[in-house]
Amino acid sequence: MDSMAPLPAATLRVSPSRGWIHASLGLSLIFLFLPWQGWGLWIRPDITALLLIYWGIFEPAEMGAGKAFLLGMLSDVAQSHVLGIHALTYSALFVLVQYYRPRILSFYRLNQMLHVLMLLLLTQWLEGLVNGVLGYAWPNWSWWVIQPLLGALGWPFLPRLLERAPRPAAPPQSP
Amino acid sequence: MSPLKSHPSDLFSRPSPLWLRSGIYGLLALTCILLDHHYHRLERVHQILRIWTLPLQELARVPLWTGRELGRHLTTLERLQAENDALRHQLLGQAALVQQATLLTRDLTRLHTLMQLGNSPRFTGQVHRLIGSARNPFVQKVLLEGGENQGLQAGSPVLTDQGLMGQITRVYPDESEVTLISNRDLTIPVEIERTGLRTLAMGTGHQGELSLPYVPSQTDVRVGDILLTSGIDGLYPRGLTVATLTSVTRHPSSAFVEITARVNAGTDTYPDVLVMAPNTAFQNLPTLDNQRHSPVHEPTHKKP
Repeated sequence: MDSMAPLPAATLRVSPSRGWIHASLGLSLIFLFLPWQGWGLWIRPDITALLLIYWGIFEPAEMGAGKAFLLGMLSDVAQSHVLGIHALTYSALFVLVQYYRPRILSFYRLNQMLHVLMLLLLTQWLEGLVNGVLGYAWPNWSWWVIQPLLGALGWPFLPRLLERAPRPAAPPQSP
Repeated sequence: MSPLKSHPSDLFSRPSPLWLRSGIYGLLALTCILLDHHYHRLERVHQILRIWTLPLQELARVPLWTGRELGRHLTTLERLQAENDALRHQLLGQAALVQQATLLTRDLTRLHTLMQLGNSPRFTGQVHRLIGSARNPFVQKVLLEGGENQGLQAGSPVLTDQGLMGQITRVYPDESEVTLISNRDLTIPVEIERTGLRTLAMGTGHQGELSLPYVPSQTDVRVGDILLTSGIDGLYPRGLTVATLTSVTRHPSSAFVEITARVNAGTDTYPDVLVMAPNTAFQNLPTLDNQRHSPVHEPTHKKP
């Protein structure tokens, strides 16, 4: 699966260390623990899912299904919610990321962003459906759209934040 | 045709590790949801994962804490004095009420003894600080400083100065989880202050909103009526303010009135709350059928 896709974005980059990957995931959990309240809760983007996509695409050897599951469990505990909801959605996200990885890698950054938006939307909707099945109140319409939208908007900034050195083979921004 | 081409899969036959592993983890997650949501068997896992996330949680509190400490240092003398004066006035205003209440309690105890009714339960409480609300819009819960090590127990009612806020439903070593009364799982026996009508108030799952589903359509209820706990369940003491009715809709086709109420106790205004000791008399009641009853796992009450 890996070998046949053109890899313009990933061929010439310096891999970050495992510690840095873990630290970034930890930071995303800290972001979750910030004192969100009221409206903030409805629009808080899911940074953990975003990083899961990012590392799943650029460091597939470091991101396994087990790590996605564990992150989901920690996220559930952090949100004082039923254990397993995010574990389920992140496991599903992991499968989607691995499935679409070659395709996403073949795109420039803005087109990648659309794919990331789709992945985040699917994750969010799966979470909403599971909550609905478990009998929780139906969220208002903005919940289904705004969080993934804000998350996807953060995608173009991730390489600058997460990569050790600027990518030598960075593709030019599509006009 | 070469044999290779006729059975191409034989050469590399192996299960797809991606789908297999993810499927196993997906099933594991579904099992977790089932065990936690329906059977409440994952309390230990909750505790362990919570301890793992504790350092992250502490780190996330640093900016908030710094802000609060800075704010405390920068508070001016005038503001403190004004606040102090306001508090003293409030205290004076309440002093008469408190004295009256002491007298009333004494009279009531005497009457109870005369009528051989047994002592009315005394409720004590301790003040704790709120850490924050649950980080999920689906969940009506808040977190409290203080847990098992501070002697808190699941099943304790939690109040603010505005009224009943919720109930402790899960206790960690140094913090506890309070389920707000607007949570779908909670049902509170209430009475309407103006008429004394007893009924049930249920959480709707929306922030600060209750519904009263079992009020017959001929009943005298109005918007603005105040709900108090009726104390029938023995868990919440009688007479705590719960909510104010915000809408009363009568449908000609329905035998019940559609009523929604707004919870009086807000979670965002006051950092400190009162945790009352759980009523032990409630735990000595005979249980219905032979179910093991533990307040940790069942925030809902038996319907009276």
